[in-house]
Amino acid sequence: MTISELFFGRIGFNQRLQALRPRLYRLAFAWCKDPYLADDLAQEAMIRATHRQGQLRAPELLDRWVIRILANLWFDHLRAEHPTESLDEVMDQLPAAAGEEPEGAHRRQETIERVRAAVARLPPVQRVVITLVDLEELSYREVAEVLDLPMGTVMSRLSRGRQKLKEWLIDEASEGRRAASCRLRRVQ
Amino acid sequence: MMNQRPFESTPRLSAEELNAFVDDELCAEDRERVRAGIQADAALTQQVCALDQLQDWLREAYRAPPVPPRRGIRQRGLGVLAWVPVTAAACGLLCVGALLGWLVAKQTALPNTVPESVLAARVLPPVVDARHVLVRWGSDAPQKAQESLDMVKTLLAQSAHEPGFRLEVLANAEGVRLLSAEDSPYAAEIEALAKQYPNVRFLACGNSMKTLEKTGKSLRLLPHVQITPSAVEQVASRVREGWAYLSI
Repeated sequence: MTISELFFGRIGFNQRLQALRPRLYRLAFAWCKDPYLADDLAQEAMIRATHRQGQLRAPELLDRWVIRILANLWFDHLRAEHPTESLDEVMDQLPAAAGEEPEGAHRRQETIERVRAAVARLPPVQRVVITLVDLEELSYREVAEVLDLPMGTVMSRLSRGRQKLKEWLIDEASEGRRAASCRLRRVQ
Repeated sequence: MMNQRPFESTPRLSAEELNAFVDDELCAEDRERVRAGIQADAALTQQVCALDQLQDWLREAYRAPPVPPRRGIRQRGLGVLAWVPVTAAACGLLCVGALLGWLVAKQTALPNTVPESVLAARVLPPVVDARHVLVRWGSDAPQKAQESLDMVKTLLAQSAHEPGFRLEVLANAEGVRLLSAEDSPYAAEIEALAKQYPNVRFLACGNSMKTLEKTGKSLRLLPHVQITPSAVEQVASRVREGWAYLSI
């Protein structure tokens, strides 16, 4: 590699890495629901990517590669906080969302908060898989490569995670609305 | 009791297949099979609609996450590595300062102390523009000169065609000899580059030329070489403008 290739490679790498920062932060925030921690995770992922630049096999894989670093950092963080539990079982101790259907919520922000709270209740691996598919729009194969999981595992985690979101955000809300409707009929 | 069905498997379609259908992950044949199954079963249609709805909510929920906090003092950290960017920036500033200081010291003909504009240049530009490059030749040592000239040729070959690309080669101190029409071993190559690439400029430092003249040696420059009054000023100005900077 010539001096110029090395020099311009570094400049290009740093600029592309900086451009990824909002995406990394958004993903990290979706996983941890804590702006401070999300900022730390995104920053740490960028630092590690800078240190390991030589390990990047192809420039076009930069985003997948950094997301992989970010996901590993997030899992490491969870393992440090829950050393005896499996990442498929760790559940954040967040209160269940109130039983109002997002569609019917009057304030958009309330809907957003309910969805974020529901995502944060998911086991970490399901949370990461869902956000990579829905937010980053990665293919199943790409998610499998980023997380170093078999494709079947990615599909099952995605399916289970969405099933839980459906229960919390749609089914329970419908049940709550139906119960409220019954109470109203009794009052009449 | 909830009377809505979860994303449960049917004899024909699994929950994973329904998700893959929504995510457009199926091959054409499987997609048609799943589509037919969905059309034949109202409950499956409802499940697919629910998956679509969840996707929409999720994207909306993270479309505009809270602005990352700006902290004077880190309240939660992930280790000392988090200080690396700050340290790197500080080192960068020190390097630029040291380089400019060295340049000033080399130019003994400069009558004044470091100009204000040079001091101003010690602040790194926010973004280095890789399309604008300044290469300084401060030495005529054969090996360094050859390496640097090779680097310039590679740079031009790879990047000269890119829109907005500009390259300046600035020679000062002993480096000005590389631009001599009479005894530069690279005269032909430099002239060829100047003719071939309109976006490259070869500059010689005026102060260094005067210093040479004071020692009784005169220097006739190659035809395409221009004279800039001060290499220090030129470097400072370009760095301030965000040019990438390399030197030998």
